[in-house]
Amino acid sequence: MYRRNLDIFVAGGLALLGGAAYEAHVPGPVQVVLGIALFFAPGYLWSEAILSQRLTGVERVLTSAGLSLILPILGGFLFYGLRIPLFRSAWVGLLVVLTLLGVVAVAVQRLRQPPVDTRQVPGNAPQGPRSRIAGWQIVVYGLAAVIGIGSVAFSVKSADAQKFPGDTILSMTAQPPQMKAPASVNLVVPEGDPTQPNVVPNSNATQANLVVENHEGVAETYTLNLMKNGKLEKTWSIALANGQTWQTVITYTTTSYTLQANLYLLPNLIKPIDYVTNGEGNTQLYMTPGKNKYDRGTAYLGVANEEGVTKQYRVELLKNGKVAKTWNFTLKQGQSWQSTVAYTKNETVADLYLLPNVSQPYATANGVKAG
Amino acid sequence: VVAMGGSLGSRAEVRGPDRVEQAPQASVLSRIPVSVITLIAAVGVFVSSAGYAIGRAGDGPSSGPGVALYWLGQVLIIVPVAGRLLSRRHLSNGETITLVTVLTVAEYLLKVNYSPLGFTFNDEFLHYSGTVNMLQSGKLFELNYGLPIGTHYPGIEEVTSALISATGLSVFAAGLIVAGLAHLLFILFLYLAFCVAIRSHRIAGIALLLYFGAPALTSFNSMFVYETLALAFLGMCMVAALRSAIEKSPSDRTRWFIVAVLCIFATVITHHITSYMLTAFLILVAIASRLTGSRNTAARFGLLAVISLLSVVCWIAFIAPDTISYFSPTVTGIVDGIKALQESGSSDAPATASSPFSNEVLGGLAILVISVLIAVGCWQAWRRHRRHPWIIGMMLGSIGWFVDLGIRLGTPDGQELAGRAATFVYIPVCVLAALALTRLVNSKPVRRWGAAVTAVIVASVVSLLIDGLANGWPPFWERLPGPHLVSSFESSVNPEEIQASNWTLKYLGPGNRIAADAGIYPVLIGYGGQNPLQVITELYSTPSWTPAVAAFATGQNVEYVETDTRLTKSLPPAGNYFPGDETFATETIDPAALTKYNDITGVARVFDDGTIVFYNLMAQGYVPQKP
Repeated sequence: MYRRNLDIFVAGGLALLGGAAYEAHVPGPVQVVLGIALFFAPGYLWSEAILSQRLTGVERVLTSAGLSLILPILGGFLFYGLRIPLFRSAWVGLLVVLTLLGVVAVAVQRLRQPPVDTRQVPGNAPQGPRSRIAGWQIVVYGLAAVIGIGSVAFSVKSADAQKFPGDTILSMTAQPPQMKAPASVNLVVPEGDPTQPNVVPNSNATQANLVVENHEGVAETYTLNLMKNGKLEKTWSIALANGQTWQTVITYTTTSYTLQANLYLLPNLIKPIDYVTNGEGNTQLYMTPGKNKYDRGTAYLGVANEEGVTKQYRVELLKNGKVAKTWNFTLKQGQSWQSTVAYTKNETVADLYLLPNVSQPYATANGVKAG
Repeated sequence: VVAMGGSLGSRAEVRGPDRVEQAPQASVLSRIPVSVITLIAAVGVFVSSAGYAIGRAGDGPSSGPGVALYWLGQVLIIVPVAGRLLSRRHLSNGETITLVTVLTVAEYLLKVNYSPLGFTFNDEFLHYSGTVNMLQSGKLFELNYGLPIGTHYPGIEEVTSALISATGLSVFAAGLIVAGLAHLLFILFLYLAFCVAIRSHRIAGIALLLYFGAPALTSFNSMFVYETLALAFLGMCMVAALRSAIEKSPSDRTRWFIVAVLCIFATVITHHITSYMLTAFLILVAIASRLTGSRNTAARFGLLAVISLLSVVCWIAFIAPDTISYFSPTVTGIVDGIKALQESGSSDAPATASSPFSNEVLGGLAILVISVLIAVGCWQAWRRHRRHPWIIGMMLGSIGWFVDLGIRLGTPDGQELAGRAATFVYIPVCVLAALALTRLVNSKPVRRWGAAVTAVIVASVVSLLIDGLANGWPPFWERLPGPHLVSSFESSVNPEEIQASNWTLKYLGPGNRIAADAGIYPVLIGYGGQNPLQVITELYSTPSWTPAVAAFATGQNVEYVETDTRLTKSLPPAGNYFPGDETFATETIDPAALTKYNDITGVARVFDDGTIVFYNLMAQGYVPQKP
């Protein structure tokens, strides 16, 4: 009697241990072993309960494994119907409950019917002399298993050692006011219209994450230049080991000035390997005072459109704070405009407006340095 | 001569073949113990894996020694198993099961060894995403951007979530276990079904060997995808249904009937097509049983067919109404293709990437050989087994082979559709082919030639299996893992794509509508949790940002655009640069078509790794602002 029901105790016990291992957060390998037992226990027990003991060994293994795959599907659907959230604890609970119910079902089943003579089970009938696996064959099978598992280990090593071109990631992403630094990863899809994900647009942002990730395969040293309206705003020297990330938060906007971050991989400080922008185009306003005899007292006032599209501009020339002259013009991408104006240092200033916005100048030049 | 041994089912209404079938002639291979064959197969796995390693270290599929090692390994796996299964030397049921298991596990190990560090097969990313969503949301029908229809068939995500929850394994490890177990179960249940129905483990073994010629079996049907799991339930249902019909005891018949019903429910929840095929199979055997006068079997299968049909209809009506719209284009394409074929003699199917000539020849020969075997098998079935409902059912089912051929030749995407359908079509085909093969080699003229005939048969069957591998997946241009290829499925899944996708999730959040090339597309879904778009070629087709392109971006609600400078340097071996694009690329992309995004006011260049760049189109106002 005890031996007949030993399988129930073993399956039930292992499953309960698996459930306990989940609760107790036992070390990884232990949880894997017990978790696998917990996963397959319901299938075995329900296979015993439904199909009794009328199966060959192979059929028992296959139906147990098959039911182990079926039960979570049907159980999960049941939980869905009962509005029980299917988090990890729920799955473990489901498997434990299925196991316990299976123990009861098999026990009842075995109490109701006498033991089956397995020799009478179809397919279990002896077919001539019972073949036994010789010792050397077990060794050969073992060797085959070692080679098979070894091939996986070899492939893991080979794939791990595969050479790929290195790269360095540079990114600048808007960080909306309500969004903190992206420490956690959350894949939960938002409720509602899937075409309207819940990320706040750039234009609302006041800060941005500036990130450098080294995937070059070796430690590297970088220089990162942040340009504001084409002028160097800040420089960082960054040394990163392979796989290491550097991150900072910068003041950010997309509406009043251009931001561009250029990343240089040392020792090359001439050409950046990566660059990112805040999406604002770049219009250059310059007022360059004449330095020769023939142009002294004048200045070259110019505008160059590098916005990527055609833009309308207004330039106001101010003398001692009063508007002396105004120009309105349109420039295509890549075009420039230039005029010669009377110039007095510290008195002459030019304001550039990006139409239709005339409330705040886009850039200002005073002849000392370009805007 | 040993044959018809190892009956697993009890004799009942199902009548078996009325004469003892004889297996082919003995050969040298037949003297090799099964344990040694297992060892040789393991060595074969290692040799093929060494081929993969050479591919990784060098030029991928262009590496001659790597390809040679890969095929040598395959020969070491297939030939001994095939030789032993086809030989006439005694082979017990246990040995047959061992050989079938060895073949299945060896091929699965090769699939694992192709990408042992993480998923690279595109469809696996879709279910990776589904599983992560389920684990984190605790909900059953969470939106899956890459596979919206898969949202309504959550079986594999449920099983994987349960396993992950119990063991703490990663999604990748748990996915490999679930897929591998399901694949092995499918094969072994199919074998048991053949044994129960044909009542000869020898012929069942040969039939299953032939089944390995199905192009998708060792690739698509062993990936971490919903069909892989559903096939296990289909196989289990076949066994349970047959046993519920042939068991002597009414109690046993009821018990197996319960198992069959559970399998039907699990199949319906897990995969649409497999549930339809299961219903068709049950109907087919019910009809065949009625035709052969096996009323009880017909009643059992008929009842199961009704349960299956009702389950499918209810599932579509109440849970998965999208299924109809999902399949509509495919059905329309098939109908249009057949119409075009009838009217003009040409299907107007778009050209596909051409395979090497050797693959084409192998494919053509396989079609010829299988067609002949089916014809002979049908003749045998009608002459000798016409009162055997299962075999008559398989005979009727083998008509599907010719429909499959029609789809392959006559419809758009016919090659892919036919390859996927072959998983089901090959079931009746391999039964008939096994009957034909056994009969042919036992015919008097052939027996005179003895070992020579055995050699020819083994060579032919091995050729069928090699054809399944050569014309299956991965295709010839990524036979071995290797360097990055643009927009080319597994060959495009490199650390760079994975890093970029992880970055999108971390810094952009999930669910963004991203225009991207076909290479990074599945990775963005899987690891990025993003919603990459299909049919977005227009965004990459002009050197400047025109009003038409802007309008297209607005219409598609594109939030981010991804560009990859490698697209400007080489053509995609898969044929298309962008997902959903049916026009085969004949020239590389103009660099200006990618760099134009640098010059658009308001379009922020938010990510740059020197090759891949992401642009944010939202600030531009071209698309609705996010809340």
